[in-house]
Amino acid sequence: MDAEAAAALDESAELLLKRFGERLRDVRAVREGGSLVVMVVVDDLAEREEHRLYNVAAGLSRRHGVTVFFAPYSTHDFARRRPLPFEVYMMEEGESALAGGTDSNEEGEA
Amino acid sequence: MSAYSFEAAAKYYIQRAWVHFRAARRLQGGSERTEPLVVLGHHAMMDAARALLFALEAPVDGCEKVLPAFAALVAEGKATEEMHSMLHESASLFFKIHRRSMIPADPRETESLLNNVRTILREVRDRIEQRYGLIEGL
Repeated sequence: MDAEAAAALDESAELLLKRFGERLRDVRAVREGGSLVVMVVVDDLAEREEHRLYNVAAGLSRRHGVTVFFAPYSTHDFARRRPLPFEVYMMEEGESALAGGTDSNEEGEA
Repeated sequence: MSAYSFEAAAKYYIQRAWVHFRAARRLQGGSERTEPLVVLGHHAMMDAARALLFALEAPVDGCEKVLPAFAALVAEGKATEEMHSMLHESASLFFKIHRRSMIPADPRETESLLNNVRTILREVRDRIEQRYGLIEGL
């Protein structure tokens, strides 16, 4: 990943950790042309929280010169969608941004 | 034969943006599915952004380049962060229904998108009219 995208991903992970804390289960990113697609998996993600992430992505895009798109999921919903093409692609091709790896393959929101 | 001017292009795109927006408003409330509204709303946003980029003599080739070009306008003080955020939100909604698997558009998000489209269209129309004069049909 190039320096601009890597910086955008680092700041994304930092902001998401600050916002969601222990509820944050996974952050993975793929560079696509001029965009950075960032999959975010959060326990019990509310619609309002998801909507607010659009503004966060806009700010990241302005600061880093790369268009950031968040693809946010609630952990339970992500588990249902796990076999679908976009989600498979992100799990296989996405670069993890969380130190210590990810647990989005495990059952969440018990 | 004279070449197309940036003025002609700016007027073309802002007129087309309004056509997309009016089509979305006609559809609104007529269906339980809101995805067509997102598609039309997003196209209206993209065309409005391209219209402003032409008017500011900074045209781009292709929708993918519109968002970074608009962010550059913000950095130059020629557009506001709020405008860029509305454009980015529109692109995020379009990405959500277009790329992700089986994700529906939320009606509240769609309503918010169309409100933002109206705001952007008026802002861009006014700026183009200040620069080039009245636009036919608007």
